[in-house]
Amino acid sequence: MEESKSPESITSMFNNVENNGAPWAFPAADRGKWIEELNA
Amino acid sequence: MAEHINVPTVAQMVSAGEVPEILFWVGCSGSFDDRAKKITKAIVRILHHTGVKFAVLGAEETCTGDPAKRAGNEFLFQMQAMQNIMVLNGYEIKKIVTGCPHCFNILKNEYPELGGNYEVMHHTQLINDLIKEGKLAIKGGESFKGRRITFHDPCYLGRANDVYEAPREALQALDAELVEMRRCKQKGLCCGAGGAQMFKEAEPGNKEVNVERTEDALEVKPNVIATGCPFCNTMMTDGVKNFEKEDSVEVMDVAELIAEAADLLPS
Repeated sequence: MEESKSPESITSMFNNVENNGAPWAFPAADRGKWIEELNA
Repeated sequence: MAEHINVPTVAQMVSAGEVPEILFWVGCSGSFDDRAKKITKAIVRILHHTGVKFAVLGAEETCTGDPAKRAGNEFLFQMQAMQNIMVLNGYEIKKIVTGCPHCFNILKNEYPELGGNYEVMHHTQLINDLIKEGKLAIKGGESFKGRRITFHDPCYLGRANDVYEAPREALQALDAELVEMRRCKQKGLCCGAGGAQMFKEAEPGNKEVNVERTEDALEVKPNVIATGCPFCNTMMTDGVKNFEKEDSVEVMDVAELIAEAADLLPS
């Protein structure tokens, strides 16, 4: 791990997965938003 | 007014003393990306219409760890996988349908050795089964008769898991003209997003992979490029725009095409 190296965008994807539970920086709480939209 | 569609979470179902027949694993793309959310909604409309007793994890769903693993971060993959397996096993989930071939592949092939054993299906397989069982009639909606459709094989559905026929069989129900690209099935070409490439700049070269793949598709003069993966959908849509063909060539998921033909989408 100490010698790991990755492109900046990949590091940011790792951080998003770790912190938000998705490869993008969307809040985990919004995961079900599509359900509200479905019946809107 | 459109029919209200109930999408229960597993937690809600379990607290009502019920268990889902199948868990719909939505995936990050299908949950957050505006284009992919349309695919998610089409899948849910099909599940609802056919009376499949399904549930989603909702806020309890988190990334499978696929992009982390594909980019070489095994540690992060295992953290995600363990978290998901704890939730799935806690609810005694037996059967999962995914809206994304990446989730499909990793849940099916890489969760078992960490203690997650489930029957995993891709949504095109489930849709094809529902059509074959007579539960999903393709009528009442838009007719695709005479339109040319070409299916782009997602890497993690096709070459990684040998699922080539289910999406094609489902598309045959549309009465359209299915045309194959020169490079298809075992010889298919990636859209350019696979292996976590979605999350980084392209490697040096003289052509974007999605542009090359879109050339393959446009060569067979389709009205529709059908996909089974939200990432392929993004890449092929961008490719079609690159050739300024967005007015004549649609990029649609198999689920959307079927839902449209079965008159399940709101007008």
